[in-house]
Amino acid sequence: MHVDQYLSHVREAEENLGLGLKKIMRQHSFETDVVEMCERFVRWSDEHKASLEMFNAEDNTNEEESPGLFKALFANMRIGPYGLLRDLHALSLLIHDAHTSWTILQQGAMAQRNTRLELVCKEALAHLNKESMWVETRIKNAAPQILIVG
Amino acid sequence: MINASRNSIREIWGERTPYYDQWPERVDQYITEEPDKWVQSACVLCSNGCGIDIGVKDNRIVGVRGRAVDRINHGRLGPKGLHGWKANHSNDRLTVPLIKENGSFRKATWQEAMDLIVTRSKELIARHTSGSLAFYNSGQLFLEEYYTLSVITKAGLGTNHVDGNTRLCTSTSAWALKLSFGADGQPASYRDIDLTDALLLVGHNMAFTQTVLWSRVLDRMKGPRPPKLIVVDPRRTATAEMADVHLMPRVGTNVPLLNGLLHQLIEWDAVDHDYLEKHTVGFDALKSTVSQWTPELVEKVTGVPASLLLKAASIIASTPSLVSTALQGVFQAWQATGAAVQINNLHLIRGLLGKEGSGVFQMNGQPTAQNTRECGANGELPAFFNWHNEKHVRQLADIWNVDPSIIPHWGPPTPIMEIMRYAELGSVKMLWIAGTNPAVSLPGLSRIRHILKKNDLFVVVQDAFMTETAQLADVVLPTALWGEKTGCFTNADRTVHISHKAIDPPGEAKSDLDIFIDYARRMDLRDKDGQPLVKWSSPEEAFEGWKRCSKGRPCDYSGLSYEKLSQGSGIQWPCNEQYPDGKERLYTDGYFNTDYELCEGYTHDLTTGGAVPPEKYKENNPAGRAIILPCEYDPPLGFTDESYPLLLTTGRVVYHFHTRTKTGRVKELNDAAPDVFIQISQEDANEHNIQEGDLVRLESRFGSVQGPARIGGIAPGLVFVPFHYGYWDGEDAKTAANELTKPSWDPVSKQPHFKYNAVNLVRLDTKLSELASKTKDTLRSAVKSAVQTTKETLKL
Ligand code: SF4
Repeated sequence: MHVDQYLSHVREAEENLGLGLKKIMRQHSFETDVVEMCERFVRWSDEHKASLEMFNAEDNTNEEESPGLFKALFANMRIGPYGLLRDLHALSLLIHDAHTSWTILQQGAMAQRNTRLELVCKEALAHLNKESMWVETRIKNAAPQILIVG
Repeated sequence: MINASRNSIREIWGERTPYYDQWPERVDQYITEEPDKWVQSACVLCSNGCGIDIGVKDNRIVGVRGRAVDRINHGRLGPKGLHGWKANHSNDRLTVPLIKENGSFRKATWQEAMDLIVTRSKELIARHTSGSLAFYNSGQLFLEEYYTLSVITKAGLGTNHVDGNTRLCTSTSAWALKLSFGADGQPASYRDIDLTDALLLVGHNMAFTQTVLWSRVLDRMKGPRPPKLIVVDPRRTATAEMADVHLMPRVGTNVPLLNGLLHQLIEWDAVDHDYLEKHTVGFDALKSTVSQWTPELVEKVTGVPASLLLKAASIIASTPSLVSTALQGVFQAWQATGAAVQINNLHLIRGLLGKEGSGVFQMNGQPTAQNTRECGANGELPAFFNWHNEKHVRQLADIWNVDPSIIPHWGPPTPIMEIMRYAELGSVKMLWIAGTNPAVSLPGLSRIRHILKKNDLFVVVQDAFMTETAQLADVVLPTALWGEKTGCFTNADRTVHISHKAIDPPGEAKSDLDIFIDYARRMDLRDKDGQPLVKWSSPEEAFEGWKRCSKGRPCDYSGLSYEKLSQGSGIQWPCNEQYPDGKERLYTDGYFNTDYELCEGYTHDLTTGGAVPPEKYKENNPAGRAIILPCEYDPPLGFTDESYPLLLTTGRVVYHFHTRTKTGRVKELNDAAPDVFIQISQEDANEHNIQEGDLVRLESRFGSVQGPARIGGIAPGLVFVPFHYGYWDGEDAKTAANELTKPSWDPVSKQPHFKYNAVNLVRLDTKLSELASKTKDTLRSAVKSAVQTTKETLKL
């Protein structure tokens, strides 16, 4: 059974996502709407992690892995409008990773008839769907000005 | 000679004329001389749009009277309407163009000023594309002006950096209507107020914002079959004083409160299942979202006692008709669009829409805000065309005879706060501001001033006065005011009025329309056939152009004309072959504008503003059914803490409009409300040892404001500051409420959160009152001793 392992992956993905969000908040502090939205998503990420705690105890999950994806995507310091676009691009990948991890876990939970875990997955995925819609919308809004005018 | 039918400064709403169904006429008048002629117009000092006649003598306005024939006011006028016209004759009107050189303004000719603007525009477009140009206009111009600006920016320049200051007042209104019903446009009619059995006013201090509409409500309340009144407002306002039920939710908790009401209606099955089935989509999702909002949970989160919530819910559940309104207490608050949409949902689940006495007003604030939105001066496409729909873009390109690719369709319009950010970054290099005063009205003022002062930002301001913003401009263009130009505008219940030119503008001032047309000509903007893009040179021709654009769209003006509008009352849109006298209320057949091919935009997530992809909307095409969009509560971010423990809300006083550019120049209005004040609760006053009139300072993370304390009428923990005041007394005066406000906005409507900020209250040592009485005492004793000395000297 690899459900335990995916609990770890989910936690790792949320960890990465939280780090990415916080980095964007620091690097783009003047983009107030981005900062506020990231603050909200950090709150959600923390809630998601907290909601997994009971399963960790129950399922005796391994220690979390190192936040590799965050490091790979946010290795450089990116500032300014172009930096924002690149950071949002990177964020969309972290959101996607988290979404996929939760989806896999949700499928497992269903097969395991673990309704409590299934519900937690469902709620987290509802948030991640919103995050994903937001990041795509924000990227689309910013891209024309940044690419064409600078 | 002053001939006034009433003293509107003292008796704001006038005498009662109780009624049900037919509101009696009462003509309010204020003239200073007997006019030679009366010229038909409508008031432009709030969204009510009262029909008004302008009294003229020797090319001067000498007074006004209400138009008895008009469906909006039946002759009545409020204090602003009766006195506001005096601003036209202020002696500080701008009369010539000004160009800034070496830090100070010099007079210039129109030729020089326009040449400078055109040269700069062309240079910037050549080097940086038209994405380096931005336009910020108003909610107070005329329809013809907005539409012309829209054609210039969308079909000529091709920039989507266009916004109106409606972003600050009713952007949420537009979004709420668009998301629920498919397109902007108020479903209800003022006629519904004459007939309704219940009124729900959410965050709308109608007594102050639209005084004549409030008179109508007061008259209903005194007449037979008075409606029940529910008011939702964290302050004990003049409106709330009259309520049968007054709910005072904590700032930031409108959504849980409304979810609580929705939950209760569903719980009691006070739901029109037949209507839901035939005319809506999304009820099940709403039911599940609101299911947790029991009265007890609502009380815990909002502070509204469960018993009061149930009382309000039972009125809404049992009333056979209901009119609801929302204004800034919703639109400028946390989860603005989410809350506004829940008001629509209340009507949808009860099936109380499109019927006599029932409907929603996602109220407008400014007099011509509806036109800013429908003509596309808020950056959207005009006539509620959808920039996301290729067919719509092509249709519009055909109307304008331009290539579709020039019309901004690569993204949504840029809201003003984003435009400012682009200017801060140096990406927007020219900002043209028409008829608005962002140096006082935008949130986080110190940053805004810094941006407007930037050397690499070329700022053009067209205004009638040297406003705080105009002072920061590179070029100032003097404009004609209401009464000095002809044009139309549309009020909060879709009533279109014409306002005829009554007098000439002062000096060389020109109408905004003439300035825009002049710019288009000098920029040599042309259509596909090489003909001038803007094909009109008079307001009436511009109106005809707009009729062609709006024909067949929800806001159809094609059946209107200057002649028809000049015959009596204002007329509602849609006005076309089917409805030659205008249509009273929308959605009478339960068919909404939500079809994929018709709608103004697709769905957005209410928490994040994320856009639902068009394909997804198409898959679940609501096809004419209203969309019930639920909204989960999202607890406010970055709220109060130990350093900033109080919540700030901002708003109006009854005598002023916006940044007082006009009303501050009218003695009667200014005398009635000359200064800023800071309203706090008795409890907070006690805690800080503050007495009425003491000088206090509010500090936020963004700036500070000071003024005398006004105690009472507000919940503990909440502070109120009127937003009208600016820097007329110098920058150090610190009276602008927006020094304090956070540059943050609703994710969907992008309307700033003026009603959700954390502040700290400080009592200043010097008391204004003490200072004043000390000065008086000193003067009195000085005079006394001078008299004494003189007497003694004389005796000697
Ligand atoms: S209610 Fe509004 S439109 Fe009517 S007179 Fe007063 S300010 Fe003018």
